[in-house]
Amino acid sequence: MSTLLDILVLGTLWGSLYTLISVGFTLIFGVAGIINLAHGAFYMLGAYLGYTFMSLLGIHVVLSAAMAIVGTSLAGAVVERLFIKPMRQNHAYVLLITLALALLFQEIMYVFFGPHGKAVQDFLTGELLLGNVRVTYQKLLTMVVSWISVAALWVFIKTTRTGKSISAVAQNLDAAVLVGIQPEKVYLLTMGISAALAGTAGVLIAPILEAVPGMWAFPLFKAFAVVIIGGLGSLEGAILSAMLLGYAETLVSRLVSANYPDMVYLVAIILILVLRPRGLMGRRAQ
Amino acid sequence: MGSPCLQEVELFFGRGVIIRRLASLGGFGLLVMLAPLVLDEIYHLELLFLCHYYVMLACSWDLLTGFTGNVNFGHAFFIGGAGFAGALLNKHLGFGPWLTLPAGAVLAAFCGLIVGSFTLRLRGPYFAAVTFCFAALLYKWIMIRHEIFGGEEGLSGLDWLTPSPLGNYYLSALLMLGSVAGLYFLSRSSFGLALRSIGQNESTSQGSGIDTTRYKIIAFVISASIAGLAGAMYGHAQMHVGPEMAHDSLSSLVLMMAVVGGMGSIIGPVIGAYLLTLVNESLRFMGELRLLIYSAAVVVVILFAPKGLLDLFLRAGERLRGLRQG
Repeated sequence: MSTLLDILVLGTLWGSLYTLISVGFTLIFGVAGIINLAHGAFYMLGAYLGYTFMSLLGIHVVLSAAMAIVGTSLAGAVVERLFIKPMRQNHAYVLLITLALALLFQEIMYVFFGPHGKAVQDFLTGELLLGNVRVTYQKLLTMVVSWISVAALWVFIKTTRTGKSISAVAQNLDAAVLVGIQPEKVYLLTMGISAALAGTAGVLIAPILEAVPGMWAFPLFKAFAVVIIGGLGSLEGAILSAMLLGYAETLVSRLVSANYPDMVYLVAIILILVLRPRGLMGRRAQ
Repeated sequence: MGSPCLQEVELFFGRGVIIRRLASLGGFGLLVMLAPLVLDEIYHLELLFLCHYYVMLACSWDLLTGFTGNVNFGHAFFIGGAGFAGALLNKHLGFGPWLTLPAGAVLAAFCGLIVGSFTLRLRGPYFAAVTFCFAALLYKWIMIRHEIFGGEEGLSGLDWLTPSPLGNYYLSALLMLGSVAGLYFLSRSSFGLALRSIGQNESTSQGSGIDTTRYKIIAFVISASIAGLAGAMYGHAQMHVGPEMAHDSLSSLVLMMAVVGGMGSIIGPVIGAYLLTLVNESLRFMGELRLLIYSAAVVVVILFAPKGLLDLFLRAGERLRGLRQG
């Protein structure tokens, strides 16, 4: 019983984080057709900015987190304008420049903060006792903030005028231009939002894992898997598959071996590509 | 992303250019074979060995990605996979390098066939995503099963490739020159033309009767087998294989070399591999800043010369010729 509860709680935690990471990744793909390999770098930037403000400068947690998220979002906008915009149509170019940027970010972090992990204090101390499963408040906070962020994004896209212009561009660029939407502004905004979501995940993860220069590859790997399984460009699919993967991973690590959760991804990706290449909830693949 | 300008030049000038190309390839080969007469220190030989290794990796990567635009993010999957397979065959079954090198190449080709047939029939970013994920998983697996793969330390005590650094140099030079020449002529053949047309417009290519999936898979298999050959060779030359041979930073490095040199030309990645290996070595005195400078330079090259340095040189040459003619 307690194992089940444990799997449920941990699965929800990782599922929520993967959702937060992959929603931004799939959003910018759906809207601008960009595979942003610097997505993991934004996550890393969020973690390091959080560490700098909180642990090095001693600024209040909430303010630090807000500053880190805004900083990451601005970095995303700058990357979009300076590096992606010049050749957005060329997929191979976008993949290469964003990868090069991710490596550059990694080296910048390495030079400034060194090769070793930087631990960040928990935002909240204490823990909740569910039966005999302990959940730290930090993990609870991570789940709650993830879900609030994803829900806020959802409401923003579905109800506000600006948000609707984002989904308009994703659905039909030409028609969106005809009704007076400026796609360049939409791309910039979407990239800012996408980076902010990755940054939020980074800020939240810093106390649970450490901030290290190579940390950008892990969320990228997860986001890739989530997006393939869920369906490219589909927000619903990303949420569904992130949660499923979170649970599947925890289930395997609890019941089989702590070493094998990543094999879940391999199997899931292969199954999806063979059986249903457009993903769980993707639009028809070409 | 190909280099249509090269091909137009070839069509325009006809055989003369092809003969000149052959001559320059031969000249490069001669230079490589004679280099040890001047550079005879062990340090130089080992550095040049490293160049040969990276040239093989970057050129083989280029055959699929440079020509068709399907970006392979997991070249390390084949390099590390073949490196470790060769090491295990060597340590447990006593196979010598003359067997493990071909075995590594065949194994990598087989893996390429499997990964390719899952992903290359789909368009879109599936291929990029899956190659990245497979390499990441292989790296994880090497770290997890440390009783087989030696974990972080890897496996040491492999048989040497040849008994001397000079022997290593020549063997690697032969393999490298063979791969470069093979890939180059392949890329100029009708097979290369088909790949190039896939890169420019896959639907149109399909419409004109090219089985695009088959071409892409064959290119990927060839690319993988050369990477596997290089991986097995590297393992024996170092007498050691480590998990870094399957790490995503190696995949990225190979990709950067090909991109900086100029994708879709085979010759560009040769230049990129030599250049970045030597630049990387000469920046060693910079310590921690080395990789920062290196990655910033790569970003600048991609941003300002997205077709790579080879294209830049060629265009500069054309402009000079234009100036001289008035």
